[in-house]
Amino acid sequence: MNRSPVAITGIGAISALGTGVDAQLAALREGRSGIARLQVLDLPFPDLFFGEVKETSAQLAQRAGTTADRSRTLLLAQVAAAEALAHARITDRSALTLLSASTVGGMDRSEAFATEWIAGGDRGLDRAAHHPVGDHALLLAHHLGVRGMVSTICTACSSSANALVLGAWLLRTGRAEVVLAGGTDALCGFTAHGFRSLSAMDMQPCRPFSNDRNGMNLGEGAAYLVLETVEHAAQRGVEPLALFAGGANTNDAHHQTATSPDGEGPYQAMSQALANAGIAPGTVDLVNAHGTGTENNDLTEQTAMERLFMHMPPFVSTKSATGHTLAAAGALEAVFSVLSIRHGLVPANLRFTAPIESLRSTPVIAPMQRSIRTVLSTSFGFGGNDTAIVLTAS
Amino acid sequence: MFIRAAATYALLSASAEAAPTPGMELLPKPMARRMPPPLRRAVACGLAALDHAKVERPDGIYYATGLGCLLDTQEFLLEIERNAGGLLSPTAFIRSTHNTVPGLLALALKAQGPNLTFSQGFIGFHAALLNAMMHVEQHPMHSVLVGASDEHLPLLDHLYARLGGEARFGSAVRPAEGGAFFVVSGEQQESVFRIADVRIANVDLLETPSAYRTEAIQAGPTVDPARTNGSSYAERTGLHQSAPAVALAEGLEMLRTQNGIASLVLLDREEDLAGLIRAERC
Amino acid sequence: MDPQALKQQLKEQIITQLNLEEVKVEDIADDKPLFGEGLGLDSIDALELIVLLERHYGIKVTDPKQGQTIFRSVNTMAEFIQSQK
Repeated sequence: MNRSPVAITGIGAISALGTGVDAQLAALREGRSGIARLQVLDLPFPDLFFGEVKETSAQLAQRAGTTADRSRTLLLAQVAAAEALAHARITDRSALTLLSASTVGGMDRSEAFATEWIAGGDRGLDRAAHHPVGDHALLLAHHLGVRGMVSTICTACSSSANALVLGAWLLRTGRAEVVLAGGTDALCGFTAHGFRSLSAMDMQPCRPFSNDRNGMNLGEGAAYLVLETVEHAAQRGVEPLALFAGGANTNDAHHQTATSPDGEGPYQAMSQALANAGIAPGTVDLVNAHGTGTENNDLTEQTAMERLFMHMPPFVSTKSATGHTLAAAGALEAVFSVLSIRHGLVPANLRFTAPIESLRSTPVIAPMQRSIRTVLSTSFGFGGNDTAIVLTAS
Repeated sequence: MFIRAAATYALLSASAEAAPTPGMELLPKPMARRMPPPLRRAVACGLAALDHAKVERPDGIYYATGLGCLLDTQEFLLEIERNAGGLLSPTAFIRSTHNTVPGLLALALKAQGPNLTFSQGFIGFHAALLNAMMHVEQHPMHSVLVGASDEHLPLLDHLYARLGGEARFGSAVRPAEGGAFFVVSGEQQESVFRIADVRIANVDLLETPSAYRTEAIQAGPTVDPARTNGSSYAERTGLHQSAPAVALAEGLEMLRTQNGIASLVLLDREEDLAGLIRAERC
Repeated sequence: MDPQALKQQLKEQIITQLNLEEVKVEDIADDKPLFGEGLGLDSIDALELIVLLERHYGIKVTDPKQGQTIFRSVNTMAEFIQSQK
């Protein structure tokens, strides 16, 4: 089977760290946190911390040149996707394949009226048509002038990592020429209430991989990557930023929301991803972990990593800076992994206090400069969906 | 890709509740208690397909849904409203992500292989089928579960009425619940049918329906049947975004009984996106 | 409230809140372990029981880890409720 690496020729991102890839890089270099109380969005959670994008929806719309009368999920995607396409110098978008991931979709706008619709009311009905999660991808494709295949992936927190895996697969089997793959999610009441009801949220800024960690901070953002075969990039005269070497999608099959105690699902995802990429664990220079900050995830994930690596490579949760951006996380962290490779940057795992009691290793606690050629990035979601991807220098 | 088995269910109206959904007896009891009826039906249907195929554990699960676990989404929205300021029950939230059905199938079957969920209106199932095809291309001996399901709520009837549903789809087509699952493999063995083609492309694709007389063409509710010389399947499947999967399952039954027809083409549309599925007798 | 009546009420509430369809009040012995081997509840059920305590008894359990002791059995739940009065 064709396992040749796929070129990443464009990246775009928006998150609590700022708008655009340069803003992400600057923030990561400085070890800056984007976690704060809400400043822009009018949501009823004065007591919680979020990784909020510090732009109003009106500002986001202005950047993209569209109306603001659309889901914030879409508005974020518009900014990041346009940046990626521009970065990759894609001029002809007619044959582009769009693989976009989201969990929120139009819920940020539906939730204001949803219970009225349930009761038979008619206010705000124009929003109902744009509620379905797949709608954002159609509108995004329309906005960008993309005329190829469009598909929305919904595997909760592993969604956009899966979009990348699928994108590479389509390219390798000749089913796509250029793929724009990524994900987007906006903050909304539904998810904030939801994660709080699970007792999954830290009432303070999160402390991934710390022994006293107490949950996640919900975040928002969007990130997209342009993927094409190495040959196609060469034909276009475009240098790859990095290579997508391989990935794996596995299911933990243990519990709907919790990962198995020995981290079997994450372990399988990571080891299969490395095997698919033809890379030995010892060659990994950096792990951009899922690291949400919840008791269950960080314990099981680090357990899995310590099973997999004889010598632990530097590992970090950038969710300590951005919060958990749900469906956007996989792609956002892939963008960070590209930045790590291109700029020799190891980001910091912010607010780390002390190592998890039963385990050996500690994450990177301050930004470092070091040659990074191979990054393993992981994303684990509800429903046992575990995905890992491997990016390498070109 | 060869079809080893199929299972389907369709609830066209509230009174159809009594119609048996395949596989209900296969649901693990401890799991079933935390599943509202529509979710049970979808998971049961997936288990039924595997049971028919005598496959204990699929090597991959590929799934699509238009609106996901609607009942749970509604329930959590109401929970937020009812208990504002207090503690909220998390169960409905957990089930509200679109990947709940394949997640529960993986749990029930201890299936640790690839597991993907797509949601793209009427062209979601096509992405799941395409992925299944790519999976068995790479691993011909694997058996993979692929399917789609969608729920129905009175909310949808309300939106259908208010947003001009009847004018668009006609009075015989109504929002409904349904789903279908297929076990597919790269090896023929006893398969009688195969999926010969799955395509997702820009809507221009719809301009090229097949012309030969041993092929039956069926169009989904968002496709104008007049443009494709095809009959419309939506009256039989009901209106929901997993209808293409139900139409495929029902279409295979049609192929089984009508010897003069060698292949079936399903055409569907979601805004600018068009989808094509071609199923053939082996 | 009379301790036996409280336990009876608790069992009914547990069955409803957790949607334990095929379980009857008689099936839940006062000292039967609710988690693991006994009734087979899991971590999500524990959260639901915390919601139950707040909604029906006005008791807030702030640390979910406390749940391990409070929710061991109907007996321990009843004791906890009585102790909060």
